[in-house]
Amino acid sequence: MKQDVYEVPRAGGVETRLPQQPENASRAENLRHDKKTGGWSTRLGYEKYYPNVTTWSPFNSTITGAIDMGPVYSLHVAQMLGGGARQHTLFEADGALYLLYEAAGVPTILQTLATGRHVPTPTEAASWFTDTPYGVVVTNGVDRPVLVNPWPLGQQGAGQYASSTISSCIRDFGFTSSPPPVDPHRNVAFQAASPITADYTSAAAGASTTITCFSDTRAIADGGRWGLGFATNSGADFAKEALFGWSCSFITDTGSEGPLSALSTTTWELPGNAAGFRHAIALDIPTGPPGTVARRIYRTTNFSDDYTAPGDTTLYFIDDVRNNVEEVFIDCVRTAALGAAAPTVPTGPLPAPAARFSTLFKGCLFLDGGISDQRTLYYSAPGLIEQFDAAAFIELSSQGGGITALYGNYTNLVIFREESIDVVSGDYAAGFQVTTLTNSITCRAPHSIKAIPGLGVVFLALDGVYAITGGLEGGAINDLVKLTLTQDELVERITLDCHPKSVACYSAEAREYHLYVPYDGNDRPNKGLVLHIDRIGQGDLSPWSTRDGFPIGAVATRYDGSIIFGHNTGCQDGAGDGVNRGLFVISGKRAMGYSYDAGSQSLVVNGPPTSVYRSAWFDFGDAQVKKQVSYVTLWVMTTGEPTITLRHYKDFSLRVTAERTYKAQPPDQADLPVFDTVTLNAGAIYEDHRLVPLRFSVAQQSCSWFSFEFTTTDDLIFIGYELEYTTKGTRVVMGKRA
Amino acid sequence: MKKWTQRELRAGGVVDPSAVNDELRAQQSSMTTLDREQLSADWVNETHLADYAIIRGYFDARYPSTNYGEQTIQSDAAVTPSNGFLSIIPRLDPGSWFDINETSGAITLSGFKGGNLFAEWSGNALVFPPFAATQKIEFPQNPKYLGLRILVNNSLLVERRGPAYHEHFRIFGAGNFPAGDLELRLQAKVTSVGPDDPLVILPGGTQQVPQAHLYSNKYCVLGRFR
Repeated sequence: MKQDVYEVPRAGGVETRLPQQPENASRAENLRHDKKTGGWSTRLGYEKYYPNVTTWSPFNSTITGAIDMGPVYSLHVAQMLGGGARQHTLFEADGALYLLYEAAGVPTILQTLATGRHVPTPTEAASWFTDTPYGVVVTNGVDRPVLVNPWPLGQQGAGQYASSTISSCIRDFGFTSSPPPVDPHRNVAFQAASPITADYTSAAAGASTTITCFSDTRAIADGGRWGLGFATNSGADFAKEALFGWSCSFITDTGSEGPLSALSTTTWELPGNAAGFRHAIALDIPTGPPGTVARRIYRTTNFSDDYTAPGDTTLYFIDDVRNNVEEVFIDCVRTAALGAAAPTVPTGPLPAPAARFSTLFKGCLFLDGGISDQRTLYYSAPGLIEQFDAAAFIELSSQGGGITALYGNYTNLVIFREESIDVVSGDYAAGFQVTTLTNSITCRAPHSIKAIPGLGVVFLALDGVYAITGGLEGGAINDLVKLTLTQDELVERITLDCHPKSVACYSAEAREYHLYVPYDGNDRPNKGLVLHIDRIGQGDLSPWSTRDGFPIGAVATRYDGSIIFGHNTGCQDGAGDGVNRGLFVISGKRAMGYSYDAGSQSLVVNGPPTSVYRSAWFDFGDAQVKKQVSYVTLWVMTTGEPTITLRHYKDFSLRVTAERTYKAQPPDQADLPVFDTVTLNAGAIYEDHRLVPLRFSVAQQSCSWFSFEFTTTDDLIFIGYELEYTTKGTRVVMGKRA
Repeated sequence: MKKWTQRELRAGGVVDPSAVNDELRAQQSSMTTLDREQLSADWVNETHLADYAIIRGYFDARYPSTNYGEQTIQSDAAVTPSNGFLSIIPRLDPGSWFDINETSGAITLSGFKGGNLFAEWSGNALVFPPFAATQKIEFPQNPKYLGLRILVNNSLLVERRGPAYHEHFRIFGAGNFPAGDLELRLQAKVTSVGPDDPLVILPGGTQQVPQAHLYSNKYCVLGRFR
């Protein structure tokens, strides 16, 4: 009998909107894009970050017993050196910030950077990490931002890498306050004329650090260049007062200069008939907090009434003390040799000590004001990420709501807000300007935002996943594109209040955007939506698949593109064996984590994930016409003995019909040799994969809609399919009368 | 670069070459980005290399920790003179070399195993300028220097004339020494007082013009053992 054939050469991803594009799927779960064929591969799973056979080292390596590790709610891989040679994996669990220090090459490499940090609530996003040339800025909206730069670390003893020096790898970000004031030593003027014509007998001289400088250049070389105050007093009285003020600021290892200290002064009067000597003043200067690498000293001119600038306390640069150790600075700089004036707009302490988000844009570090100051955006001086001028902030409009994320992209800084998306353009010198991009799309999932090549900035909004494409400068076209137009059913099942818990990463190696969301009321990510970049732009082919059973609490990508994640329950699952501790990797391992076997006291590798592909509901052009589907042919790559059982549905009924089971072997040739049953070189040889049809006979009687499905936990590469059917033109009857 | 499973071989799978190659290529690609992760565990640690096996450092960023000759009588009460601020006044100047640490004198370099010793001493010094000008003469005739030297086991390691004005100094020397604890001494000496110098020791001797200041002294010593 002549049959009609409907051919789908490339099986699409998931699409939930009815009627569906016929090449797409109702379910495409736990599948990855097979680069060699363009089909779907089931070869995925997850394994421990460290594939030790018997231990969990360094994640609380005791195999049994109570553990304290997890859930992991934030994870970041910082790239600190080109070529991926210095990767720092930072993650948070149980209120502690951990560093996975791998460069040491020894087993004990999990270091605790900080404890007692805020643990985010189910409706709060976890910590935000921004890589800077000086380290990673970590903000969480409650604790003070910290700067982490874990390189290099010392060694305390054998096998105790870094534990003694780890505290030097983390410090508070920014300046907390002004430095303590400078302490000028008292000066007692030297009472002598020049040349010295008599024994000097002044009892007043000789105070501890009184230092005099010749004002006469003939006296000593360069003598006249140095010294403070008047050099001569031709009168007989103490009449010429010197009054000077000093201030200092700290300079940190980011090159930033902090606020100035309060002015501290000292004064002396030149004795009568004194001539030939100015003075140098010893200052006790404060040392700064961790991260300080230099102190900058400022001084006024003589602002006594006896000089030309009475009351003028303008500060001028004298010198940098390029260490954080010296405690004495001797100022002998002549007023004429003072440097540039201190900034007129004073640098303040860190304006956002509870910032939630940060990003680098045009060389400036942008911070939001935090939960209680959520519409203010602060920015540092360019290249000086801790130096915040008191006037360097942008107050956003009140309509858009609080800031929910910051993302520097291309020529713009995208500000995600509770009710809008704004962009910042411009630069520090010319000023920054804010423009609203949209008032209708809002992102409340900051960790879902990733830049994806070819798409732009991709993020999860309340109503789906969007991409901000293009730019705003040079004639570029800017657009907001919804990527889940036909996947609304998936999006609607995301727990609305827990959007901030969503996490995402982009792997350049897999060319996948992984978005893990709290689903069906869960309070932490338990469902994955995967955007396969290689499937974009192929007509109506859906680029989406889903991941089920991957316990992802936080996710990140390493330099090589591999996707690592922290467990979403950790020890909270109550399993005394603690098989969910630490970090895991999504890989080709055919396993879903581990179990603990109490009998043998060993780890057991779990089985692989179940992959599901259910086709779209086919109406073959007209759902009113009844069809008889007789064959489903799956085009697969041969993978050996794995079996495929086809099941099929009709007319949206959940009653399923299972067909016979076939092997993934060529139907019309001898079986390819398989592992564990063949000895190579004894007649059998390696064989390449073959693209073969597996033809299933289907007995479904008449239907308006048809769908098939297969599930497997085995290796399978599925590319496309064909449906063979006949129709006699019978149409569906009229609707039922009410 | 760390690599994880790319293609797991499973029973019943076709014995296709890519099953092996996928996994192998993934691991081989780690050759392109060498880093220390790829070194074997414990490639060098303290079980392989005991403390001070080949080198030992001794240092102090503030030496000495107490003041010497510092007159605090007329200092501002709010200011605590910084530790290590030496004021060398005629009354305290022995006229010869003296240890800048007047209390303990020597620094013991314990556990020196024999070999080369490098010693460096840095700080700031000021020779009080008026003393360069002799009394009743307009031009400097008798410049004063703060001589500096380092002794190891009372033998001279390095000696320099030292600063004449207000200067930062750094002197260093190296020599070979036998095994055993060594004694290091940092010493200074002001140019001797001349007969025409404008110096006065006041009645009562409590307030005197300092000849020199010496402060912010640091030393760093490295023993490199044979």
